[in-house]
Amino acid sequence: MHELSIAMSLMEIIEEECRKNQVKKVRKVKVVVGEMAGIVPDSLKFSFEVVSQDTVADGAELELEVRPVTALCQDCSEEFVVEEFRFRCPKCGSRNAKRLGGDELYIDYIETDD
Amino acid sequence: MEIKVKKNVLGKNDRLAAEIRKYLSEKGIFAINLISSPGAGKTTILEETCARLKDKLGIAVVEGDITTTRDADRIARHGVPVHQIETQGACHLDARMLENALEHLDLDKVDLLIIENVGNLVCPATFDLGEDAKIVVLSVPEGDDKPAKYPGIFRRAKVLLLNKIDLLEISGFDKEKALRDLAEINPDITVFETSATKGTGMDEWCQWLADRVAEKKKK
Ligand SMILES: Nc1nc2c(ncn2[C@@H]2O[C@H](COP(=O)(O)OP(=O)(O)O)[C@@H](O)[C@H]2O)c(=O)[nH]1
Ligand SMILES: [Mg+2]
Ligand SMILES: [Zn+2]
Repeated sequence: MHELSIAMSLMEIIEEECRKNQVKKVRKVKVVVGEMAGIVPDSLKFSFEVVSQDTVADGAELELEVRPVTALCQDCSEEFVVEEFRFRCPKCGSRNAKRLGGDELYIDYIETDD
Repeated sequence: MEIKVKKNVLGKNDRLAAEIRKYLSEKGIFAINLISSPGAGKTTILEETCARLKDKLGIAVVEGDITTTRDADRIARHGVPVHQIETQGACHLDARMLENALEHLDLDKVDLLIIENVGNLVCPATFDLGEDAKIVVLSVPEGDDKPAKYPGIFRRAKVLLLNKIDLLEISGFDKEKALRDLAEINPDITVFETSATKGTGMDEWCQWLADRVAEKKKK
């Protein structure tokens, strides 16, 4: 249930951006979440609903874009999507793969009413 | 209006963790973050580790496990400086909590910092504390499906302590299957089969730690 603390950090950044840009009402927040970020999307959405109450983002939609885990084979340079954390190259079978993406957890953009 | 943000949600934690990492490195301290389900044996392993290494290395312990101060008391009995974090029910430690805890410890003679995280295989994996290595403890009664079910922590860990190995026979834990899954998730992980209560594998694990401490000192 660390989604609650994630939602609080999210809210902190949103409020900071709104102050900077003199925004009073947020309509939508777009967040990118890698499959390896350890976030349960529904849980984050629920936590966000709770912590955004009575803030600039009250009632705002939280859109989550889930990104797959991707890796680069160090032996044959194949770039591949990692299914279920199995870091094995589908082309040459090597386990010597470097993770590229999948641990993202960032706010992409905020949409406002202004 | 659309405001482009592109900011890491964990940015604050990650920046603080980076500061802690730098601070510990300047002091030549090797730090580990012990992660497992509740009851896998973290505190018992810690006690056995302290007993074996405390005369050779300076050790300090930060206790994050929520079970009151019982764990901290168990460590203090070994004469090792320990600080208990009051997590107030949090499911993980974060860099801010660790920073506060470190202020309570005299780190000048410390070579090895051991952090016992809150008993949980999911949440602690997300929060960098500035440690050199995450160490995951899996006890065999928990079942051989755990690496496949909680791949995030098994991918990030440098070491797996497969604990309560004394219960291997009666628990029906399929070790080959667990290790096969583990190799797919993290082929670089080092595995020690341990029984913290019987002492099995503890010397090998402590040697690994002592080697890492020596490595860090050289840098
Ligand atoms: N049989 C067996 N029991 C163990 C072993 N390691 C720890 N235990 C027991 O497991 C229980 C939980 O251990 P503890 O260290 O408190 O786990 P923690 O919650 O991860 O810190 C205690 O009753 C320990 O005595 C082991 O290797 N074998
Ligand atoms: Mg404990
Ligand atoms: Zn390949």
